[in-house]
Amino acid sequence: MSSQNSRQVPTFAEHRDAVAAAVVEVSENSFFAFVAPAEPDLFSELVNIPSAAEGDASGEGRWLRTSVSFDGAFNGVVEVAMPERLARELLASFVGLGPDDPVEQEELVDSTGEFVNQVCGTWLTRACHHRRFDLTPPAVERMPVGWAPVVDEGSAGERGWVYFTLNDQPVSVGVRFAPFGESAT
Amino acid sequence: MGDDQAAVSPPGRPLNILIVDDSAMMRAMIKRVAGLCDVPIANVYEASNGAEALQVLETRQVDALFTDINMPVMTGTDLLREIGRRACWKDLTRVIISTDGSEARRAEVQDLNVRLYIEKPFRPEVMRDVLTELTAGPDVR
Repeated sequence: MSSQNSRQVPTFAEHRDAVAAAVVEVSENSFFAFVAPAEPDLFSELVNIPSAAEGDASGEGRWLRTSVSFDGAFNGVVEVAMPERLARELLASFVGLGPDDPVEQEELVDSTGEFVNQVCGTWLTRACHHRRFDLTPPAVERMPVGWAPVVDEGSAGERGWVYFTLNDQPVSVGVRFAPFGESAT
Repeated sequence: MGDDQAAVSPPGRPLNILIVDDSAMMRAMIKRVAGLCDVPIANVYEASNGAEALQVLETRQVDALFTDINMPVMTGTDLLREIGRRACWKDLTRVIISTDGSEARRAEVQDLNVRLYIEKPFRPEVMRDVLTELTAGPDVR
């Protein structure tokens, strides 16, 4: 049997705390955001506040959904959803923009991708310090007007979600593990 | 990591640095933090992957290289291998800035003359300390 076939698919429960710790570390140290864990009920409440995803230049409430796939001792995907307004705040903190500085959509996509890349890399480094993982470049989607994340209570088995507030705005972070040789996306 | 404990440029001469990362915002962040440090910097060059970095190195005088590992086109590891093949770049100071701080990854680059390995995320003070250290010379981690 090859070493690849012997790789086990972890459960989300095994990694939940490490994922949450990575979100806190990246939010505070790289993006200087105020971060706190949120119960699913609070997350839902914040998502359903009409202003949750408003405040972008177009006046439309939009969410950004970003995924990074990883492959190493195990494989899968990390997926993060956040309001575009929050993504702008994180970008401004990250590179030191002033409140009136213009922001290009390309820059927003880039910094949001970097946020998720750092969360994924930090989690995997802390959780599996002896193993290396390869990460795909972040895929950032600007979701249609009216789209909002729905709380997934099924945090069991090979997938699960943790919820946060960053600068008092809702953020969901999901992980899906996949059997070796299968894509989690 | 590496054994070279000399300062990267003669005392008083501003540094030329090259930042290699596929995220333009990450490059902007590193550049901004470097600019805030109390270290004289002449030029900050940028590249989005290892291949672009080689082009910069072939045309510019660079004292210190700060590179990510996981990048499309040419990874940071491949870039460092290529740099190691060229005698003309033997004095180039090499610093890795990566989210991947695993022992396996560190082992992969241990023979590539890397002077410092910085894990993302890092606080701005880390970059200040690194640049100060590079210009002063002592205490290589």
